[in-house]
Amino acid sequence: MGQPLSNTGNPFELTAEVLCARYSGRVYRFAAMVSTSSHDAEDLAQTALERAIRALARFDPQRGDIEGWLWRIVANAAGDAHRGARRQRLLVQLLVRRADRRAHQAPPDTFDEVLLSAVRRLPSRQRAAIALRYGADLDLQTVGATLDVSVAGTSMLIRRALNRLRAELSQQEEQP
Amino acid sequence: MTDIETRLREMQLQPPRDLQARALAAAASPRAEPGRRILPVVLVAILTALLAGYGALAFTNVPPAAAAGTGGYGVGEGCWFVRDVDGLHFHVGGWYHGLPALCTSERRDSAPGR
Repeated sequence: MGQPLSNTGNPFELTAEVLCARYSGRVYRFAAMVSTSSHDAEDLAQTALERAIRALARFDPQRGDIEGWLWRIVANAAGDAHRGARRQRLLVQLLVRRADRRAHQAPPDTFDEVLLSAVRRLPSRQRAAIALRYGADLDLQTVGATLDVSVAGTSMLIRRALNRLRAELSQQEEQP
Repeated sequence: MTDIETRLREMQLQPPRDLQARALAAAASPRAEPGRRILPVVLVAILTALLAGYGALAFTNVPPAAAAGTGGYGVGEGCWFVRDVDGLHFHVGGWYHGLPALCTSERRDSAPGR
């Protein structure tokens, strides 16, 4: 391998393999919630992990903990992917009619799929907060630090997102 | 309905088995940033096209030999930069002794110069 894959300054020697083994599950859960499809989620999780591995040699434990460092990288990767996907969507819309695309999308059937679909329809900021809190299983402080929002602001953001999800799901339950 | 927070935490979202291997392999391979590599190439291509078009225009606008050989240029005639009553401005010009004629205010009855 032509580049450093570990941070030698770290006392417990966090290697790329350890980083992947420890965080890939949570990174994928986060990615699945913020992405519009499973395919995009896989791409995002891979890109985020790749960026983290590349940056591992520069991680300095003196400047902050690994969680804050990692999730900032992951959130930035998600932001880049979101912008790229939006450009791609605009291009696709020029070529394909929306109605045709909807006809090919299967409706969600399990509750998890319904819930995931509702999460993916949240506004991007609320979606990121939900994905960091429940997908990545982070505390409010780390979620806030990752999104550059105060703890109180993060709490409000998540509360609003949860209310929106509850409203949407109960609306769907009422429908026959 | 079970509490939504619990459902979000317990949602079954399994990463693909080869995710770790793919990330490790991608990180070990040389960085490929197509956007950043293409940008200079596109800029160079645009500049080359502009220069080529500009050169073609210049060659088609070479002043008549009689003008250069006898009485000089008229105002703006055969020059790349022209100064007239409206001030200094760009004008698709011609060539003088094999070089771009960067003259500014020559008249037909005066000798060509810089």
